[in-house]
Amino acid sequence: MDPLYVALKLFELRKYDQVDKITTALLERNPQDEALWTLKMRALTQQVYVDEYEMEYEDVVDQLMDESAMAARPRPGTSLRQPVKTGVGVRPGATARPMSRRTGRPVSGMLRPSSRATTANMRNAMTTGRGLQTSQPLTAKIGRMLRQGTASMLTTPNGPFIVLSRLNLAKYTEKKYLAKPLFEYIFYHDHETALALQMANAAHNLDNRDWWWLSRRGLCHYRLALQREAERDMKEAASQQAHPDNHLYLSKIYARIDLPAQAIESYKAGGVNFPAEPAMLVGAARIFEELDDLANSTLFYRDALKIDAMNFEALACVGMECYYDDQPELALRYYRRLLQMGVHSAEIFINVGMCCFVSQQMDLMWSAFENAFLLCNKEQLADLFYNLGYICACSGELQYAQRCFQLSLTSNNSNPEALAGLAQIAYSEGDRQKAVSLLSVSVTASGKEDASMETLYNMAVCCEELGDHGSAFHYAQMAHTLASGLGAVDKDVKDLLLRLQAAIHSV
Amino acid sequence: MISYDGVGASASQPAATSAAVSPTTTDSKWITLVEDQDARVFTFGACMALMDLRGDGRYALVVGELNHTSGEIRLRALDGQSWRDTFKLTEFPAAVLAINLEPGDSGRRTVPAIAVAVGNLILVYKTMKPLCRYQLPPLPALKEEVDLWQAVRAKNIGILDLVGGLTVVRVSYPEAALTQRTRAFLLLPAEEREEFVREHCEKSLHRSTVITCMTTVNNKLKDEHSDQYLVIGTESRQIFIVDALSNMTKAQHDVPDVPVTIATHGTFLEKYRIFTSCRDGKIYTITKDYPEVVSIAPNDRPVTLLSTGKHLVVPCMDGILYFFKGKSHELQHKLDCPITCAEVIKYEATGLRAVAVALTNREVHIFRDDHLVDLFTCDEMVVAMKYGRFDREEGALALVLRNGTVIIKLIKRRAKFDPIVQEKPVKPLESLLPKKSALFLDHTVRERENCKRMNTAIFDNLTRMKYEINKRYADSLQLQTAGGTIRNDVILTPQLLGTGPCFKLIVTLQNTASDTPLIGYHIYLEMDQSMYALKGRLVEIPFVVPQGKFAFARPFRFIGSQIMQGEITIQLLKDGHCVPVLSVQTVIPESDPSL
Repeated sequence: MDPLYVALKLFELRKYDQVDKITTALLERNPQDEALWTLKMRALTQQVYVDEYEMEYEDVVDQLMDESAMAARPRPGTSLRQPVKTGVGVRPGATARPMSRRTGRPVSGMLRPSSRATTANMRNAMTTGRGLQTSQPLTAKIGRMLRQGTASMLTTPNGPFIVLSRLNLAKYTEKKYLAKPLFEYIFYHDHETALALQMANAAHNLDNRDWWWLSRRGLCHYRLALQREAERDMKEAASQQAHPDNHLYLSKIYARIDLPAQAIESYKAGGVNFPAEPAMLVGAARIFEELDDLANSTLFYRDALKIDAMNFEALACVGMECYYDDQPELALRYYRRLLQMGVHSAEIFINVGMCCFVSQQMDLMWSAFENAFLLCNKEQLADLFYNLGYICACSGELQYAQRCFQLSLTSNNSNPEALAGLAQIAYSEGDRQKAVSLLSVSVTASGKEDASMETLYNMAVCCEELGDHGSAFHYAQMAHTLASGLGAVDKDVKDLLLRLQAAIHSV
Repeated sequence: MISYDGVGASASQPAATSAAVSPTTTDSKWITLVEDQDARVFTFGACMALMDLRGDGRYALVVGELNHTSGEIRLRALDGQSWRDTFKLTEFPAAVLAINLEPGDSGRRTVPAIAVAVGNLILVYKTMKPLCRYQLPPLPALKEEVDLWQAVRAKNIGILDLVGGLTVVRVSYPEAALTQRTRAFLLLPAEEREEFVREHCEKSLHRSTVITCMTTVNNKLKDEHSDQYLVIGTESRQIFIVDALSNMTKAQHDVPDVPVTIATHGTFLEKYRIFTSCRDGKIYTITKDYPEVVSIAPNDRPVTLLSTGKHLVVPCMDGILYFFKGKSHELQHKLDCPITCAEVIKYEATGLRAVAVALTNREVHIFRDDHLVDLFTCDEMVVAMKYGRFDREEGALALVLRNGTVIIKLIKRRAKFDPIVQEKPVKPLESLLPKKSALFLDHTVRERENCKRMNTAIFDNLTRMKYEINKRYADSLQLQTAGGTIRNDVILTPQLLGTGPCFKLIVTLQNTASDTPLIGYHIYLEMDQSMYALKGRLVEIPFVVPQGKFAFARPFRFIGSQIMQGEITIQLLKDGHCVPVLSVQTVIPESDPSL
């Protein structure tokens, strides 16, 4: 059989390693064969291909270099950088869901590249220490490219496949059949963004009616952090050709330059052109979630599920929404579906266990937790023990709850929730002093700006009972800023504040 | 997914704030005409009537009441400012009311009569003199009962058989269905029974009943001059419509239970409707032409029934005021306190139709339709109310307080009863719980069907969970790598600042014990010396008081050549112990040496 034909078939089967081997052998015999050359380029590109429309981490350096911020204090709902405290989506009275550590936004139902969202401001980023169990890279892009750079080195032990510096770009740009694979190779495999941009520019000059080159030029601009140029290119590309990628790229750029409303509009426009494309809906749902508009977010996730019933992200997010919306039995169904689809992670099992507990299917609970024990790492173990502690506390086993919280601390030394749980037990035993000191550790562990409302309120109550009205007032005020709009909880906090004010005035 | 509940939920509950409406005396809609604090009247709303005693247009308050000092029951009238003793009664009346016995017209004013329901009698007085009496028609005795007594008379059965037979009858019928003779006979001691039978068995059996409630219904016209009939509810579960003057029963209805309160609507000749609340807590509606009985059941027992013409107002024991219109109610008002009594207000001058509701917190609320329009407070709880005319004035509300005070209030002519915008102090929590899903119902079915198996499984699960927790707890006690609090009341919290190659490590040590201080501890920072340059690895901990905190910072620098992650182990050591008390590990992120 013709080895080129075999290589092509293997390429279709996505066996890129074997394609690489065959084409390398063939190219040694005939280095001028452009077909082989193209195939090898594509195989190498596919090995490291990343969907560019997924959001990346945006970390300290990106924030520091951010030139696109329009206003230092944007109006609520117009910026992703502003943590939304009294958002549209916060339901009064309903279970207040736990907030993520750094931002005050709800913890996502699914871990995805951008879900460890940005720090609220630079000062916090510089002053709060990082979590002890994780070591995030400084800039996500550098981290990813470095890794992939080394990967490419390994695949070609005899030096790089194409020496880009010696390449006559102008010549290859004119050969249309070769230009696109070559561009992708440069862009994705070698990460030579400047060179890729040069090539895209040249190709665009040759034929300015080709949307593909426009959108690739946009990608290059984006990677070089020239977001406004990228936006212009993408817009033009999208107007020339309504391709899903163009809409997704455009939305991503808007999200990056902190224009969430524009991003949603762009996703919606994409949705009109491609009504059966769940990526648009999921994208819009993510932006809504970051804006803390959970009602809309869930709506979009549910729509996405109608199109694609196997979308992990939508399943996980809708499941979480159901859980906090007092329908744990429905959440259980979503999580079980994830398990059926082969997503086996400790978190899912923990969630299934919690759903079983809350929806009173307690006979199924422990098997889920047992599986979670088998799968979990150290940080997940901390959360697992925290949840077990919660279950013990709910079923009245305070001693076991205490042990669970302590075990949670063993795995994650600064687990503010576990510390708060211990404080709660100390409080119920009547040891106010201990409760206060544990709560204060909890507040330190989560950072004063990011402490949960409950912790602050409890701290204020304990301080009040110990007669320390000054600190109590301080903590109650902090709790009050977080609690506004939470219905009954809000009222409790306000009453406490008024009581403390009266006490302080009477002194 | 981390669920987190605060201590705060159980920590403190603020005192409930009372209603925010503050009735100010300046814009009161009422004038107090009489306030007699020495009246010592003890009565109920049904035993009060405001009526023209002598036909001279001066209205008086007639009360059937119990005198607490002498214990006698009498009918008294407040005429102008003074009380007149009128009649002694044999027992406490079920109702006292004014009734027009004959039709009047605009030229001639008729003198209304007082109807007093006592036992099975209705005594009618006119211009303060006894006029006539009406006795409820005797009821036929039960067949079984009659047979038994006849058998005794014919000496077919003995006394013991009679007792046995009558006891069976008493068990199978309600108490009120038996004749007085049988009831009295069964209560007698055994030795007196023979005497009783000998004395009474020759006489015929009578069964009478007792009036439980009474009201009036107009005969022909809707206005106040029309002649009226009495509507009487009895213990024998019947309602009679009676013309007292001619001693005739005009109509008779059966109700499913004993009527307790009664209200009417319409005229007897055209169409009338009788609303009655019975001992079973339901309200039955009886219409003239439709013999069947329609029932409505509020959540709790009705205090009384009021018919305003537009609504049927039912104040209930649970403090809810229902406004029924037609068959559907669905207008209700939750009041803060239980209701003591209620009365309809029909003020012709302004066309006001309202309901006054007295509460246990000494307030009287006035509702027009279903809106609160006025509110005033009395010195004591109001136990009875009657609305009508007093002296020569229209719009009088007579109130009897718990301490026996009688107050008569008049509506001010210019008073406007506009709805009070009631500022609710606490918004009722919006119930945002979603509807229970079909899946939830399936789960409940599963629970119901496999309850035993599930219960065993749950306990099995809990036991296994406890075992796992205990095992891991024991392991961690062995390892002693806890962040604190397992064996010691110490929490170590390290924080790492900086992005490399320069870092700063901040270690906070908190003593969470409530009484023991920390003495003689050291902290040792252990890290790869070829990768990081750190001075002062051993830190001596000073005396840390209970609840106290000790924090220190150590800057260090990455000096290695390879990009890789590092680790710090922070160990808490105690003097004289070779094993560290605590140890905490921290990851140091990779830093580029080229920076």
